Amino acid sequence: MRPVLVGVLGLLMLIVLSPATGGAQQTQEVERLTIATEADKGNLTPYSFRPPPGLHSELTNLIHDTLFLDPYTEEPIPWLATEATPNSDATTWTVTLRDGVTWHDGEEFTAEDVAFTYEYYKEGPANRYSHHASEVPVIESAEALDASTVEFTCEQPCPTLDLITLADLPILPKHIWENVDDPQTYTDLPVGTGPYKLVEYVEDQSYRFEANEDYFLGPPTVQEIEMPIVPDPSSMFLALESGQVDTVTRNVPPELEERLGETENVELVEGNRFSSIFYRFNAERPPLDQQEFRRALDMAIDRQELVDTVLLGSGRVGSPSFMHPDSEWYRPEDATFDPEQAQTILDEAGITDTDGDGIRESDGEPVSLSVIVPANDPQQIRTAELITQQLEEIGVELQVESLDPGTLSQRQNARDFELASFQGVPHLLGDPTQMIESLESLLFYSNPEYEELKSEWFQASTVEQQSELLSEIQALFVDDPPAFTLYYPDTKYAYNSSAYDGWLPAEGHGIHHKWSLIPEASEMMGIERVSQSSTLEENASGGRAAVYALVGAGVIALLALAVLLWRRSARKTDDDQI
Amino acid sequence: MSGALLGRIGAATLTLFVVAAVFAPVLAPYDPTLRTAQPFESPSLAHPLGANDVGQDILSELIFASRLSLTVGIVTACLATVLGVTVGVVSGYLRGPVDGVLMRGVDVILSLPFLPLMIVLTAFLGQNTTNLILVIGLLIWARPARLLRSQVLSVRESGHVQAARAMGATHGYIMVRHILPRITPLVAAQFVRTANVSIMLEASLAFLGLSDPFQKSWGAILFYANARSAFLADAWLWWVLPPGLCIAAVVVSFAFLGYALEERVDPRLRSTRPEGETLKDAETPAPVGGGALQ
Repeated sequence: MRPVLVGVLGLLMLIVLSPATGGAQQTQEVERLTIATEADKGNLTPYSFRPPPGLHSELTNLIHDTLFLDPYTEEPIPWLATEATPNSDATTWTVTLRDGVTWHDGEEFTAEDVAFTYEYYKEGPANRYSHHASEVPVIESAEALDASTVEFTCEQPCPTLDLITLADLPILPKHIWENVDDPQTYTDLPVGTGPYKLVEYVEDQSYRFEANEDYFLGPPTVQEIEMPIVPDPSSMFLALESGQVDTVTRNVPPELEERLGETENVELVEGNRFSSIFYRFNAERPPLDQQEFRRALDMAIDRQELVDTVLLGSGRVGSPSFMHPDSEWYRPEDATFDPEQAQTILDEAGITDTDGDGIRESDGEPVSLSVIVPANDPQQIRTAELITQQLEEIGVELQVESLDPGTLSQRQNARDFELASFQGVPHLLGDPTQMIESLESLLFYSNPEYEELKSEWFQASTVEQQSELLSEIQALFVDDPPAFTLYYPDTKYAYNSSAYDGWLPAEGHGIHHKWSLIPEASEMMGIERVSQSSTLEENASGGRAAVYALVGAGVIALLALAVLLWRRSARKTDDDQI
Repeated sequence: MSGALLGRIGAATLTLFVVAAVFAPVLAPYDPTLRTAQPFESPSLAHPLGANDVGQDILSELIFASRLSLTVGIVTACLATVLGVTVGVVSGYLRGPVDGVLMRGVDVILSLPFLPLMIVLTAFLGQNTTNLILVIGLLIWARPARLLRSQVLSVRESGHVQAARAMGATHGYIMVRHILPRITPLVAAQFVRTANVSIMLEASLAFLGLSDPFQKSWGAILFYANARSAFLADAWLWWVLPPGLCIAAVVVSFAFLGYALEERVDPRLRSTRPEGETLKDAETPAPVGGGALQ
């Protein structure tokens, strides 16, 4: 009997000690990836910027590089630069550049290119980036000291130069752009230092990128990226389900989460993109010119109802701080929802319902506002519908005009609106210099206390001081908001995990950007790829398997013991009988 | 199937929709502007067609939407027919320079791309139902005008018209008393056709999200259904199909009605002949009315 027992024990040991399945995965090498994007963004130079929907800087930066990694990181992370040192009051910065970086056309990247780019943004026609060289901060000069050193001089202290400005502005090749007369109408395919070359662009149809094998951080993980432009959300997600595309840049609408989650090979990940829906207002139009009136409107909006109904709960309520709650620069402030207080404020401001029709009058005119919303975004239309009902409660009429995107931006630029529904982009919600800039150029904010804080902000010479001042500025917004932030939607993204799972949910950006395709980026940014987090899950299931194996082995051992005992006793009885 | 039977089917269906439109507040189980269910709720006894993306009852939306579609269809058709008949008759009867000028105008309008122009016009004028009716009406009168004119050209040469002219009847008198009655079947057919076109145009515009977004219309229901991914989920069964069927049913019943009307007014189409021939007749396009339907 002994050998049997030994055999059973041996088997048991074997089962318990056999290694759990799975292990650390390497970043995949992928031949080709198809990514559906929702909008055409021109030829992807810094000058081809178009407002949302759709990614812009993420696409432009596939081709171009910045001196530092990204404006939304906690600390500046060197990229094309290796180091940036400020002088004592942070007005002059000496920036050292990487050696051995080349442009896509083989020319060498030098300090001349950097100096040229900043001068070009500053002096040339305005683009999405130019005011970060000419206004916030005011860069007086960018000078190439030698082939790999640039000196930046700011008019006032610019403590966030390396953290934000240098991390935001894409560097252009001097040898190409010095010959471009009008960058706005430049239609050639751009040349950059980035991990991808744009090799084909068909307007309103598609982009095609090829890997830059000579990239300074080594070749990216995906050889070729095909990017069809699919404006219709249904066709986009259908293409993902059927495997025609490998991921889509539109975030997954809440109603599709369940369905996509159940689709084979399709995985969902929270991308942490900075996004919001807010209402701009035109403070030149009475009664919106009265601060009390705006305050009352703000208080009458039930943001939780918007999140629950329009986003099906997948989002956070808007904050008067305006910036995104996940941004380093966000000051936590809660919006007040108090329709009764709103009514009192309106009554006190003399805006009352004098003719008993349920709508208040201001200066004898019924208070009837209009809001313009994009016709291609049903969530914004539904939001407006709910707000119309909410404002009705306090006797304010709201009319909704849904417009095609072209007319919408025209009306906004001409300031021909009372309220305008606007989608907040990462740049607006995560970059404090853009915030200061937008308060003037986009939101037309006027508040005497703000003016004071702003001039202090421009004088501040450390990041901490600026952070403190920005916090004070956001505190002003509680009583006098520059816009009504309604909600911050969650930004889940869907991808086919069998095609590629190296996606990197970078704070502010979602998962569709160059860092998802650069092997080193994960470590540099300190963010895990989705493949690594799913490995964790696999390990967990591996752990479960070990438990099952243990229990199973235990059961087998018990059975073996029972059989052994039974046979023994059987033999005993046999012996007895004999 | 005889024209009269088709006509009865058409009339019955249309009556059904008209009744639904008129008595919408009584028939609809809920107020379609209120959120009475959970967003994206599946059909249940309380909500036979489920709820839309903000929790409004889809059945109630459908019933209320028939108001807009029928109003737009009928009012626009009236407007377009009046315009078309006036231009067609005047142009065909008077001929000469008046004809030339009017027909070049018709050429211009016929060459316009309807939908893009409507998108621009509604963006420019604002999105309310009156504007919508005016814009559609002003765009679709040209085809009836052109068709009616060609008929008038032949009528004006017929014996009784020439006799009336010889007896010194005024142009106005001849146009109203002699020309108009002769082209009535065509007018009826054109009325029905323009009603159809305008219902379809209204639905297309609403489907693109470019009409008043809170006006309940079948096109708008489809817009939200498409934009909130109903086509990707089972919801197409109760969110997409019903408004689609409603649009189809109204358009088809208008067409049936038009066919029956035509047959009644035009003796050549009337089924007084033996059974076999009627069938053949009904299916071959008649020289006058049938051509107009295409």
